Amino acid sequence: MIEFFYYIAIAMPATLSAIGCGIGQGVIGKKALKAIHMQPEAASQISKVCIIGIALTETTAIFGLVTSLLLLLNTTPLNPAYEAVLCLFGIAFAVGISGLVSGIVSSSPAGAACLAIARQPFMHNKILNLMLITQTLIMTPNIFGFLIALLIKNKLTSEITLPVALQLFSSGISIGFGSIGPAIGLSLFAYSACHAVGINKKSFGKILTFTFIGEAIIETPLIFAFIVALSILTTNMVNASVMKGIALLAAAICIALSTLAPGFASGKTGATTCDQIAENIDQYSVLSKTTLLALAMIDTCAIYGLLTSMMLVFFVNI
Amino acid sequence: MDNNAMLHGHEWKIFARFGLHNPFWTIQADTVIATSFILFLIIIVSIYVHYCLKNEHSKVRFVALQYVQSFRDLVRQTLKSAPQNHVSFIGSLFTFILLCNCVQIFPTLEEPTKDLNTTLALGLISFFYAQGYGLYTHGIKNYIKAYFDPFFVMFPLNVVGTLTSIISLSFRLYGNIFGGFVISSLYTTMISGSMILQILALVSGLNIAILLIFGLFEGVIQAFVFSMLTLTYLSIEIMPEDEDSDGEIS
Repeated sequence: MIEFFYYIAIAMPATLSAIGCGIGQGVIGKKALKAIHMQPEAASQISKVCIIGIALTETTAIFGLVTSLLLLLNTTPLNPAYEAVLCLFGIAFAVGISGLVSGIVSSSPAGAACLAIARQPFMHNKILNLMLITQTLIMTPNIFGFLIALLIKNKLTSEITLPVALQLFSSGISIGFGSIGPAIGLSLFAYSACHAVGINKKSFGKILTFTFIGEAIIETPLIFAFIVALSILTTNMVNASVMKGIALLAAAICIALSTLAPGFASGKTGATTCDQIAENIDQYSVLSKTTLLALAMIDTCAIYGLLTSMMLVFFVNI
Repeated sequence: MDNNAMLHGHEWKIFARFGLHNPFWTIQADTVIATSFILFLIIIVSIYVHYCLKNEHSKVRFVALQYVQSFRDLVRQTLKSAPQNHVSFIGSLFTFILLCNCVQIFPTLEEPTKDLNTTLALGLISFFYAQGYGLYTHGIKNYIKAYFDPFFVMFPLNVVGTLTSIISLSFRLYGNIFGGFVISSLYTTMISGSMILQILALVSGLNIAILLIFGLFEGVIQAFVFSMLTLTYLSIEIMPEDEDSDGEIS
């Protein structure tokens, strides 16, 4: 029975990432075909953007595959015991969940960019730049997850005690589940930014400036989750009891849940502002100030979650 | 098991005799050999093209000029101001990464980009190039001020957001090329057992298909994505303050 879970955990990163990547690439292709149908003269520019978007989305599947293969070809095979399986599930969640989410949502800027080029064919280079910036930011959760997975894998030894297993597992789930909200928020924002340039080409300069500020704030919960995952990994677990491992697990669940809503909500807020900027460029300063204030208030929730997690990591010594 | 050799490659531990056993002092032999080979290849081709340029009707001259012109077009479309400075950087970056990704078509050589050291170095190079030109363009006062926009609380977020670009660039290249390498290694190990499988794979063209997809196609796409992202980061850094947002008429 435990071997079953052992191999499930090894297969999970590749499977989940492949699902996300497949859905994302399908959506990009569909949007590109729709855009070519709208504007057949711009077919070459649209297909260029489509291919670059698909190549960037492919990265999620490759990360999942590399992780699964690294675990499968491990030179020091772990004993299929409960502790080792727990560590492997940590790696599986870190890469698999973030790959699933960022694979699905990274389709939105590429799809929106294809449709925007169909509306504004002469802007294709600027729209491509905007798409590259936003889509690389959306891939950040997956890269963080991959990084944490590599760090967890370096800590795997043939004999793992239960507290260490809980530590590695909670590090994995804090970055894995913590990346869901920020990734969805970033994709909502990116879709609206690319869409707004398609609606009103004069808004490009303002949208680009707003994208840097907005995406930096929307990404903040993700960076909090990454910090918590790193500080869980670097906790000293020599002679630690099981209660310390459970406290780390609680910290991971805390940051994973508290980044969910702020990421989604700040993405939605930024997206609405992008739509408004496309319609009223003259009101840019008022709109951006109001939105920044709102985004800062929303991120306060994530900061509370970070504080609680940090207290659980550093001040619980049982 | 030779899994260890496949994942880690050959290692030179020449500093071990001095008592330095840390992995920091280990030299990855495959990476060094393949990178030196690529650099010699680039130098030899450059010297050859240099002599061919004197002949007006040479075919090599036409190909070389087209290759350089495509980079000029790419850079001019993305950057409006002073594009000629950056053509050589973007062009050499693309050429080096392309050859690194596709070097497995030469026997016994392995891609240097499947080693994290190479991709991290490339990411650091493009990061410092973009930041240095940003500093040069805007001056030190405006450069530092940009980190405190829109208000000073954003300073750590801006710094982290800037530093993330290194990780994003290097891990994307590393993951893709390493994935392709592992797949082709597994394929080779799988068919190496039986003679019939080898002949079948050779006759049916599966060998060439694997090489084309995971060696050349993936390599070209990833090299293009890397240089395009470097160009985009550069254009963000050296973007003029008051850019007129009218659409270009090309």
